[in-house]
Amino acid sequence: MTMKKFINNPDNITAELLEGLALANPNILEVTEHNLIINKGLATADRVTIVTIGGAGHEPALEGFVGEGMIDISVVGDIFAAPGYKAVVEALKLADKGKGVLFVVLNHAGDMLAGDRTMKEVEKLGLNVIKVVTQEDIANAPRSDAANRRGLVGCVPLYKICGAAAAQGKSLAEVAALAQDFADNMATIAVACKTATHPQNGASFAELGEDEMEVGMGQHGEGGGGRQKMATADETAVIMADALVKDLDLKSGEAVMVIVNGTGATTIMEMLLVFRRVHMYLSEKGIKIVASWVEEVLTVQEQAGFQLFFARMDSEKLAYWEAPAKTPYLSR
Amino acid sequence: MSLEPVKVKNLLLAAAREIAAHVDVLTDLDCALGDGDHGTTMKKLTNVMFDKLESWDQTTNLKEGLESLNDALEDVSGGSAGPLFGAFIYGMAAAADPNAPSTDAFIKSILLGAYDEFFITSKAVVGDKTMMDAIYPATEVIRTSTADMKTTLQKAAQAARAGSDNTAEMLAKYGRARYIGERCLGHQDPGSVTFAYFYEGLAKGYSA
Repeated sequence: MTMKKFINNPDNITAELLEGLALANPNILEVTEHNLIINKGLATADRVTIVTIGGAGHEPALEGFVGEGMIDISVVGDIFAAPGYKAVVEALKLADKGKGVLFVVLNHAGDMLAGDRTMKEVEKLGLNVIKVVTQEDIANAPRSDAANRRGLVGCVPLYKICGAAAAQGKSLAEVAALAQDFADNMATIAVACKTATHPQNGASFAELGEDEMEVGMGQHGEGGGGRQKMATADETAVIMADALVKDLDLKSGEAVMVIVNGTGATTIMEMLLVFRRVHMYLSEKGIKIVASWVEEVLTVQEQAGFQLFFARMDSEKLAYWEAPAKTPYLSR
Repeated sequence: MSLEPVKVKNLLLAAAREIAAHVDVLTDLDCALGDGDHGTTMKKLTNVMFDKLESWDQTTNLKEGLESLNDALEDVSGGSAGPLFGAFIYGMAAAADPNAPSTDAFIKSILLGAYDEFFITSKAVVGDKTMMDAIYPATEVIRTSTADMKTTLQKAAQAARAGSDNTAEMLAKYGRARYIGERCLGHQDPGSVTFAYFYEGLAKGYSA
């Protein structure tokens, strides 16, 4: 197994990348024991706060969006692995400024187990926490079977929108309702044409053939069931946009956010070609794009491919999306 | 009759050693089905077991020792295998009875307790292509066996291995393998293989 990555001792990747993140953003965040990435503004916060959990190896997300206006504490596990629940409980205790904490968990087996275990402890301790799960991957299950839908890039705009609502003084009940409403109205589909390697053990995930792509690829390079012949940017954009419009039941006259999230080895050039065709497709249907983002947000190492994300928008959510934020990888 | 903590220590150490010796096998299996980190996770978890068990001696309070072992395992960032393995050991600690009539009776009770807690946490049943496919048949042998403990553990290990082998022909209902549908056929569930090694290690580590 040969792996061509700029790393040191594979066991230390997570610790070293978090140290790098903190050193590169000394005014925004700090890293403490047990991989807690903490917004420096948390110290003086008098509002609802936001905590999330997830494995490393998907940078910039999730920890790259810690800062004012988005995440207050991101609890990082190890590469692709959820953190232990005790660190999460510690984070929730630290984050609670008397107004309660929104706890966001992506639907992946390890994160959900840690989230469930954490909530047991939260009840015991009497902390004011509401948990919201993101599960918007349409690849494997219908909307009615949300438990079998993975959490993909949708968590990131959710942090942004809820972070802005919290900053504007909304109550925990209001922020949690907004989070759930946004989560219920978002959908993602992913595609990959080249899979990645696990940076700790050099193992490569299920191989794709030279002329194949897989629609429905997950956040860890695990398969999604939709293998097909490699297609053009235009063809792929239409296959994916069509699936999302159907899943969300989007109608002419509605407004959406569109994210093209690169998963690591697909160029911004290719992503812009995709966005162009998605824009044409939605315009033809009378659906208006009111917010857009073409960027590497939540990656899967050097996996070539992207996630296409749509969310139904209204003026309130749009205002929160456009509100100020100061994090390492999203500032306005 | 007082319990023999070193006997329990050797048993658990042997189980951890058996898993640790096959980390590469687990990684390869997980690459076919998941994201390839199961071996890495089990390496971290067994290292914690080696560290914590090292200090056990004839004076160790077994219940406290198992609680402390569980506590250390819960600190590991271990994806889904971490909390599931943690639940298994937590079940051992919860069931540990310092007044058990014999060390063999104690071993039996903690292995049954491990299953109970694992079931509550995982919610998986036999046939879901998970760790449960090895744990359940092994536990049934331990629950019903009338043979001596050495024979019982050997039979439990065989049952766990057979259960794990069967997972190759199952469709996954949990974890990342469920997302690849029929492509998971022909591959064993890595978590079930871990527990086949676990029970095989117990059988090897048992000394009457």
